[in-house]
Amino acid sequence: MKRVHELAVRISGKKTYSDLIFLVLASVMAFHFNQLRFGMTGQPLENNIYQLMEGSAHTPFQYRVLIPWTVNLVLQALKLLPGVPPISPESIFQYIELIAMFLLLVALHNYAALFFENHAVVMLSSFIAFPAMLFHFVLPRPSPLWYVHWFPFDIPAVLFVTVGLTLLYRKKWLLFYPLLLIATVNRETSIFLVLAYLVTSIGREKFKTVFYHVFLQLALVAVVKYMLFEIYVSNPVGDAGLDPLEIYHAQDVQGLFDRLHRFLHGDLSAASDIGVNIRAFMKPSAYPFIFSVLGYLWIPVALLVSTVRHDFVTKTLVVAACWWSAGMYFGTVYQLRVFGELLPMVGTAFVLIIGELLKKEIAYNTHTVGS
Amino acid sequence: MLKKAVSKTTNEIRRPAVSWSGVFSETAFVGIALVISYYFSQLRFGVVGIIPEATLELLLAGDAHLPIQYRALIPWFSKIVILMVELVATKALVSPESVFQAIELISSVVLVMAFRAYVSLFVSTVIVARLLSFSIFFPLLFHYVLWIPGYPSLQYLQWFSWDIPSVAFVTMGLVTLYKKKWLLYYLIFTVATFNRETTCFLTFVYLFSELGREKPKVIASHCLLQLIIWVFVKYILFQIYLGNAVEGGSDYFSQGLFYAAEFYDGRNLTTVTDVRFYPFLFGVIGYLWIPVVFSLRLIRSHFVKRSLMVALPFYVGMFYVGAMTELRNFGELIPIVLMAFLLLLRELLKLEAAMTGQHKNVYNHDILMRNN
Repeated sequence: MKRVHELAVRISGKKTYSDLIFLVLASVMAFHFNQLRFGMTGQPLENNIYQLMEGSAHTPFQYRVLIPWTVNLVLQALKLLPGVPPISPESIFQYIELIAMFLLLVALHNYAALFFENHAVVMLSSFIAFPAMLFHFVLPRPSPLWYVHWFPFDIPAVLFVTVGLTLLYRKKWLLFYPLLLIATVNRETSIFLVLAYLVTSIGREKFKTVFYHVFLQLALVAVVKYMLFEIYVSNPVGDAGLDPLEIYHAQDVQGLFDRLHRFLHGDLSAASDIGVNIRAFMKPSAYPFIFSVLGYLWIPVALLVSTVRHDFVTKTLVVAACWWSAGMYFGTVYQLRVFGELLPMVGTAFVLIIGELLKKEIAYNTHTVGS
Repeated sequence: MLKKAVSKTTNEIRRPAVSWSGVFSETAFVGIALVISYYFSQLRFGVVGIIPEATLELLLAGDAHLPIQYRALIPWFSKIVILMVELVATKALVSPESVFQAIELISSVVLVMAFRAYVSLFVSTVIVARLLSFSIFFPLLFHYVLWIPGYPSLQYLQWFSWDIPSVAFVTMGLVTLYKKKWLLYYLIFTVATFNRETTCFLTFVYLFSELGREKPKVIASHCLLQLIIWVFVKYILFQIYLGNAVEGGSDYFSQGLFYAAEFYDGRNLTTVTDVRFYPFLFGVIGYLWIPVVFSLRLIRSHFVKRSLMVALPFYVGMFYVGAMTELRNFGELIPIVLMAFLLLLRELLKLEAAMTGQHKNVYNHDILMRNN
């Protein structure tokens, strides 16, 4: 045991060295992932980068404007520098995604550091992201073959959720609120950070404090969403590019009741994505793909959730479950990219579970040897 | 409570008494293995391509180019299956594609089970062994699904029928080598050599792992026997497919071994001198070799540690006869490096537990302060 302690101290003393290795590896992996993303995925014609930059893409894709706005800004800035050779929007999008992926690995590293002491374990926990994210953002649906849709907001959304969870854990409110604002401009799934705060704080914080924070966060999300709604009110809606006026009418209270009525009478199309999802679950041959969320890591997490000792991580798994359920309504199970933001929650829980299992195994071995 | 399955002293799996929970968990394991294998197989047949010189029809007819045709086990086996189906059914209802796909699916399941057997040699609880055995799919993606660089864009990976079975055979070979089940080992070795000639690296694993632990005479006789089997199988295959064309269209005998050198060395030298290829090259075994190299001293198992040495002759050999960017060439290293990584992970988590224990008092103090 003394030797183990000595080794632990020796390894912890090499923090700068291991940080350097981590940064080099993270950049190599980010580049590799970026190349695969831009090689193995495709853009939907009606929501390509030019339409997103122009503001004429279909909503809700157009609502996720942070990256298209940033690219426009960069292009405008480059025009001010006459000596700089012209750069294509595609390459700027690719650079932004490369940086986002690198920052995501760093953010996952920081998040894992909240729960693990050993630098090497922290590093390995963050690198789980690479294989897990392949399933969401690179690998196509194999049967029938259907390539992943590339969207500029996907990787940054995972990044923002990871940073958001870290800030929530550390209660760094001054940083959390600007992050929530930016993350909401990028994708509306930032609302799950509000749920994460609610779930992890209830019973630990004063009710009043929780209430104020939740109210403030919801207000922030609502303001951003309303602004985006107003800006892109006349854009075509959904994958099919439907007339916005008809759609908004269908989504008012009367419209929702009409759809519910049709759905209860067997019209699955009335439930839009839910209909697609129900049909998907009726086909067992689709299960291997549907269940490949986070590279199947969710399965051991779901089965062995009781072994996760960290309260914060366990509670974020509740958020993950809500997220997946909500995804049934606002997305289809055929697009795993919709569930990419579950990575920090499920990935960290998975490493904690492995740790606990191995700890028990070590304890068992020690006991056997001792006896 | 974890189920105890292994005796610490022998590292042999102790067969648990048949119980419903045991049957259920084993069924669940095989079920999950089947589901993931099915997905993997679907992915393979969806995004990977077949080269015109080695179509399934050519492989079945024995007319594919060399050395591709030498890897004859799966085409032979497929041919037998198709013939049997034709005997049973009035008309042939099974396409060669579906037979090859079914064989690959079964090979993937066998691979997971073989890897579990390998993990079980070092991990003493059934549930941990099962969980860790699924990790084999991550490196498999890097080697057999993800596209490879071919600047300015990426290239499809080439599909070959022997790829997944060869990883399964190597894994089974490692298990039998570790347990010294020689009869089974030699049987696997012989069959596996008909699948791919890389079985010779199992001999290297044996050599490296036993040097200094076994009598030189015993080592020499085992190595010699394996060499004889290997050469014998290769000679049979050489004789059967003597008239086949060689990959690239060159005359095998006029250019001899230098053909491969000219063809691949040139490519590989270009690859290793272009920095843009590095992330793809480093992606071998899903980057897992990197922590293994950095933390080699944490790996306690002599066999696992020594078996890693095979990577050296493997890479030297592949530099000569295979393209570095085609990670599928290095698939046989997956169980070897992955096992080392899993043992490393266990040691790191052991250290983590030790460090947490060290700081426990600090945490308790912190919690008390907060409560106050």
